[in-house]
Amino acid sequence: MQPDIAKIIEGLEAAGYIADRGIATAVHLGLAMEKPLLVEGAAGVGKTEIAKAVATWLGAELIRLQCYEGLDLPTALYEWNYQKQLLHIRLQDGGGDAEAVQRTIFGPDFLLERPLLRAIRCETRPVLLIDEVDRADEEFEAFLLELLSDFQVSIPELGTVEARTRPVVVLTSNGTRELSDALRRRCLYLWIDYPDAAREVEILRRRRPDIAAERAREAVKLAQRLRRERLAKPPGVAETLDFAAALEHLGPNPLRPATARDAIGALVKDPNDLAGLTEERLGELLASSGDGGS
Amino acid sequence: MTPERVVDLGRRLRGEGVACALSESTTAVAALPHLDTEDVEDVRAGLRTAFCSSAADLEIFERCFPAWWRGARPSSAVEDLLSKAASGRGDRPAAGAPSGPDGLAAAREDSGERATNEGDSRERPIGAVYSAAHSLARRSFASIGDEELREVDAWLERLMVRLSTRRSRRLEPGGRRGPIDVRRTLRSLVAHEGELVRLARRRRRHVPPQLVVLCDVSGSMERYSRFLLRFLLGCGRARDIQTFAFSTRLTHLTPWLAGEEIDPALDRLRARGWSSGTRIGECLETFVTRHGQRMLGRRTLVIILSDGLDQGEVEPLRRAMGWIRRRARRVIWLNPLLESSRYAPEARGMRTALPYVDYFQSGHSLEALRTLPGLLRL
Repeated sequence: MQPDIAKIIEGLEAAGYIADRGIATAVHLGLAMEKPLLVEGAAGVGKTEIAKAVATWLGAELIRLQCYEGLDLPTALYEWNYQKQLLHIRLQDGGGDAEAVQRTIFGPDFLLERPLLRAIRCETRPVLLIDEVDRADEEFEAFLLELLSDFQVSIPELGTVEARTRPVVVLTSNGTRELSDALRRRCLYLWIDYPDAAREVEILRRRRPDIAAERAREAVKLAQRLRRERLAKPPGVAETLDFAAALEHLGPNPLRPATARDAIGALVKDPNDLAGLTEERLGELLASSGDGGS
Repeated sequence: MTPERVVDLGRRLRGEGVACALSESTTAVAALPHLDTEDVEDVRAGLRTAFCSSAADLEIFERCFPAWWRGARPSSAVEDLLSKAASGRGDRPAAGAPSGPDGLAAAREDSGERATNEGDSRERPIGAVYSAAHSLARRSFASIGDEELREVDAWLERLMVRLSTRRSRRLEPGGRRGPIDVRRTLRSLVAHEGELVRLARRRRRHVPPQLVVLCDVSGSMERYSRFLLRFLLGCGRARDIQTFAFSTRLTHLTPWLAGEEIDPALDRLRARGWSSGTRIGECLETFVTRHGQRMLGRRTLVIILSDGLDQGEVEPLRRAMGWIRRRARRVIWLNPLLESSRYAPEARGMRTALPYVDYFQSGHSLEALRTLPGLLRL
């Protein structure tokens, strides 16, 4: 193993993230090659967490941009401080020519920094998390493409702003829309799968040390088993965590089908999926979930 | 590990259907110095990030990697000499690859070609994909004349225009009623020495809706397959449309149809043999589990073209239709059997699916399809 990769596994673990080899390698390459990392995977496998853990590990500032349809440049990049501008115009009332006023109010003092501009102007290398990039529309994606290749933006009134340091960029996507090939091409790709049982128990234990080890193991066992069923919404790690916490609340006894059924709402959140999971079926699943085989 | 070997992996992946081009290979080669190239896990995890760009790619990568890795390790001196002799050049990499000494040359040609011809990257080998079970279907679509086909195309153009009516949440300048555009208002304020002459506003913009088309290409539907495919290909010209074909299994058509003229694409697809039985439920369920989460949303219209004569189980069909219905904006089922006035949807599959369908239409002819744009208006 490349020594840096081992270091990353350790570093991320110290930051509270249990990374497997594939994840660590991708992070390592992203850092070493200064390329954005595009993270995909089912909901609840910890895509966003990666960026947070990397930021913690590097001691860098985490700048987060949550994408949504209709996200536009004034929200993502920069906006002028209109109130301040209006006030300035009022104060200048009568005096000064329009040219000079315009020069002043479109100066740096009147600029509001949004996440992307902030990432570019950061003094020290930040981690830029562009979350759920698939929710933004194509126009924004096209802009992002330009930003990620040059790390500079031009503000018509001010001129070009260049990045002082190249941010570490992590993009996550839930796949509500196909991303363009161009964007995919610019990034290193990381697909995160559900963690295996041992790693998931480890994650639970680390996030919620107050949950008994036995509860965590039981919750993980059922969650892992359910992911092999054809569910419309398989449980994510966060759901397993909730489920384990629910079991903890329901009492210290070993997991029985009736208890599992009581707490199942923490794990499965689709009405159709729930309908199939009767107490009897849960009993079967619990009985068959011994070693991840079958 | 030589760059040539990495390029060779890219070529193999491309052969299996991964859309990776020169830039992916460049990234992969650039990643090498950062990896322990003696360590299979390092190389696997590292090259994966460079070559793959979707979950489907990963599957192919994992399948191709072991064989490539075996070939990637230094081969014997004899093989080396043989390959040099065969090529007459000294700079060839160790030819452990099963692809033979032509592998590298092909890879280079390939990459060069890719760089200039983007559409080509969609080219996929046909032979590798289909099995003998899926019988070859060669049909003359004589029932539709050239004249009518042209009309189909013209009609599809109109359909696409009509479909472009969804209002986006993104705002654009203009209109008289929307939210005030402060930036533009302020600009005019400056120009008019602080006098407010007119409030600039913003309005919601119109964008094409997302469309998912699932098309039955099984035996019982072959009369319509040409017609239906023209429909699909016409749809492909609009911006955000995903097309699927199904019979006993599901094929994602969109990558096949990208940047293609209708007829060559049609021939290539026909060669895959789409006429056998029908397992609608299982195919739809495959769609739901593989693509559903990603492709279906509140702005998605789902069009299913099928006669509903299903040989598969009813339960998967019910589950899948329920799931699709709850997530998509509208579900439209086109069933050519409706052409006959005596037809009643009594086939098991059709009966199961019907409660989840918003619009049930025949779609068997141009005339029948003409009513569709009206249905799709949002």
